[in-house]
Amino acid sequence: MRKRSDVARMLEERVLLLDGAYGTEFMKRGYEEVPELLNLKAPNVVYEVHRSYVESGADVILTNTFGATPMKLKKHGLDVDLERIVRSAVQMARKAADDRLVFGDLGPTGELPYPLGTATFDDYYENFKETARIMVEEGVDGIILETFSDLLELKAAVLAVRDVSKDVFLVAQMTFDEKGRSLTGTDPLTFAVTFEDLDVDALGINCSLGPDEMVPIFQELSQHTEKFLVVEPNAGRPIVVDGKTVYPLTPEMFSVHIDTFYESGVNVFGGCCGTTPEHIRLFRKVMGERRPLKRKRRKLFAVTSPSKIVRFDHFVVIGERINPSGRKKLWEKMLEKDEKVIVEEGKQQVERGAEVLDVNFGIESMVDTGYVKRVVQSLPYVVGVPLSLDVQDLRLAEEALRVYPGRPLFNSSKVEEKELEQKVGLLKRYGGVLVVLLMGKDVPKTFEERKEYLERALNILKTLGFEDRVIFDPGVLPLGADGRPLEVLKTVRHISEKGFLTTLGLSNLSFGLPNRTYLNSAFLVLALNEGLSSAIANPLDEILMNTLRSALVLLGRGELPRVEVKGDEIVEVIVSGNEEKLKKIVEDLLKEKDPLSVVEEVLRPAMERVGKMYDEGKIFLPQLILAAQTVKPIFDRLSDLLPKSETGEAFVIATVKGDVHDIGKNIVASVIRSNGYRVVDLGKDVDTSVIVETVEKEKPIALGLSAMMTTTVVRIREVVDELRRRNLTVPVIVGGASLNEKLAEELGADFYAKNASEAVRILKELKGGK
Amino acid sequence: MSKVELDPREIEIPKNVLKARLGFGRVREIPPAFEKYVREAYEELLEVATPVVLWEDFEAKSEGGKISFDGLELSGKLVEAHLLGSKLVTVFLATLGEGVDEKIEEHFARGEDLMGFFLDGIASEMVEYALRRVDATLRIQRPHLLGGFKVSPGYVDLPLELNERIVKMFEGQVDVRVVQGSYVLVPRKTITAFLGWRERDAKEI
Repeated sequence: MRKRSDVARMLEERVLLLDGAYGTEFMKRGYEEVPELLNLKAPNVVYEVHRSYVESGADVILTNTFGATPMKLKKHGLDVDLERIVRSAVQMARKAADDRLVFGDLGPTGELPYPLGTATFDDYYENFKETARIMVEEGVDGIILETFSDLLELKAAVLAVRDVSKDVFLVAQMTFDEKGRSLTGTDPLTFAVTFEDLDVDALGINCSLGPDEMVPIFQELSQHTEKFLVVEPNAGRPIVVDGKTVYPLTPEMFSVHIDTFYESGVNVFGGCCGTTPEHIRLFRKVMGERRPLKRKRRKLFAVTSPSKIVRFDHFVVIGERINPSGRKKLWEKMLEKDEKVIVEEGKQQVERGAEVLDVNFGIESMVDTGYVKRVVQSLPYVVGVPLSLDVQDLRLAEEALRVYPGRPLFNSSKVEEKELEQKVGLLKRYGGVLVVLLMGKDVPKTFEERKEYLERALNILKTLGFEDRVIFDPGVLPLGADGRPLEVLKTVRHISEKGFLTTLGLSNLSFGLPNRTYLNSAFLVLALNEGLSSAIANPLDEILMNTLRSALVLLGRGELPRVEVKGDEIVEVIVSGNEEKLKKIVEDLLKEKDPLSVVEEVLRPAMERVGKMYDEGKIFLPQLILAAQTVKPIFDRLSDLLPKSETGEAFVIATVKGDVHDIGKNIVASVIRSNGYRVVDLGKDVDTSVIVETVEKEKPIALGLSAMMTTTVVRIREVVDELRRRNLTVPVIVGGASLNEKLAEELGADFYAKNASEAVRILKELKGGK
Repeated sequence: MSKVELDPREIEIPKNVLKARLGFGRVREIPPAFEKYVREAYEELLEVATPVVLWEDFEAKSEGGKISFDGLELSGKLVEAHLLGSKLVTVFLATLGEGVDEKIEEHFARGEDLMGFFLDGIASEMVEYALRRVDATLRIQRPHLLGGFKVSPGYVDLPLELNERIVKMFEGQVDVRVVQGSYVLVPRKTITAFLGWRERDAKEI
């Protein structure tokens, strides 16, 4: 058995090649029974197929054990032979492999998790642990968990393998449909974020799709993980020819896609259903001896359920109502182990805007552990959203975190070294984000005391290597018990300024007081103004939620999710490129308003909303371009109706001398024009003197310079120097593939715009005199 | 020196690659409202593109962190990672020809920005896949050699100036030039690359 670190070192050196399909190879040789049975019945055939892959150039051979787990074998009455099947499989692979790696192969059980099916986390865990134990005893170099379609089952398998061995290389793979979702709704981003926390070495995708369809799904995964990456596409989607299932992609057709996977950062490449030793032989030739490319992970702070990822890049409402404190009926239902009531509470809150649900089981010693585990496992599947596990007892918390299908919030830990260490330990093992409550043995009253707790917490978290997986809660105390809300607000600001996320148990403030809604709402607004990132609150409180929505808009912090742009007819018309309808709308408006008002009050704000939708990922670049293209003739027509003094500020744009790339520049020009500016587009490969003279003549609000290549960005400096030499103080905005904010500054530019909508935003700021 | 003129209809661009290039990376399908534009742009490209791929092999020698062939001496991070130690280096140039640039410019000049953008994006992938096609064929035809990763001037620390040398290498075979000072290739849908080959070990054959 090779050490985990040895396999990792090999993967840092070069991209390895995995073998191909086994089932079809057995069939070719006339064996159509359960493949795992062949390990006992015809081990020579298993050996022969392994050899064919070794001779084709595979670096890694998988054992013939995809279905060799107790639950799966039981379906064929073979569970009693598990031990012999697995041992024989590893021995055959090892015998055939020469010095190649042997990975133990484990597939899913085929049983859906409760409540979609009947399987519990523990069922899955025990099932995989048994096979993994035998594999490790037989000395596999790694274990690959492949074709999993459910997050919880895969998590159980990972934990089971790790409990067997901390030193075996472990790969966790899921299978996705053409829409990029697994059977139980997980997308590759959720997969990456959830499993980044767990102790696995590599993540991957296999089966269901051909290489072409798998590319975007793989790329999404690769952008969000630092772990090694494995991919095994099928040889296309199966078709039926003469009554037989055939996978249509020939080795040549398949190989064309290898470069794309390589460029996306693959570390192990192989084939799934329909691939043959001929495929692997050609893959070997095309892949050659390549060093893996380095990837950079896009970091995002998020929690997940099987089908939803909630990023904390906007204000997040954590529903507080699954908490029996002060709710006698709910408490009774919990004691009766009623799951329906929890589901109803959850659904109502999600419908009213909760993105995460806090789950608190009251007096934990009185609640059945099995019930807690069932609720924690099933609620995310039924309601869809991630949970905040508000569990204090360490043992119960471990049970809950273990069976949770995703990356939860864990609410919470006080700032005490032992408690933090234990709770971080649990999250390192099971995954998740920790809410750190800024209190210890004493409950702080003042900002200074809370600040001290924060510093202490950060020191401990740094030692534990966990400071990037926490949210801080300053601790809200009831007003009636000397709560001092202003001290809490100061703490929120302090934490936010330090770059950390915050949350509050909002309703604590008004505990025991009348008019709770108003107190809570007012406090929430004040806390938002200090930078609060989330709150554990009651989403059924309409006044609170409406106040929250309004405050977010007033503070320029965007909207709560689920607020669709409905009824914004003009934006819909613009984005869909319906020029005729837009013309009609503008004609009607011109009957009531003057042309300048139509521009300033209707069209320009509409395009700003379109830009915002693009920034938020609600529309795509082609839609932004089409929107700009649609609005342009309308602006032209309105400009004709305006006196020259009111035709909008000029904006000069050019691609610098020596550069002939102008697509990006054209798009920026078009979008800026569609926001009501008079764009003077000088084109590409423009002499510095022409640019400067145009600026002198047009006196624009700003000058836009585009440069794509490293050899041409230096021309920006030339333009800036010439402008300054002539005492022209026009702000210079630059953009292009080789540029970034730092380089732009070094070149003397005033602004760097990474895309068209950012350029519009800069112009708006300039116009507003900011 | 070898040269192949390809029928643009034979260059297969994977659907998903195209989708991502055209700005629809985060949706599973190109929205129906845009399919018409994409189809039109693709058809126009097929009319005007004249894909040509040229390549030449050179015996190479590696010494002191540098690789030399045909009077060229290359070094740096990219060379170290992907070319150093190669016995043979293939130099590639692929282009779609002048007509594509003209068509893109026509669209932008007429205010048809979306068509211009789509045509540009599809053409960028087409020239890439024209080169990949030849690359894959070479790898299949050379069973005793292992090809590394193709590297192009302008990426990481491989100087863009090399474009001038590559264009000179294929002078007279295809109408491609380099912009003085910036080393940008014209026609714009032109790419260049180096690919290193090493002998396969006996057990790898």
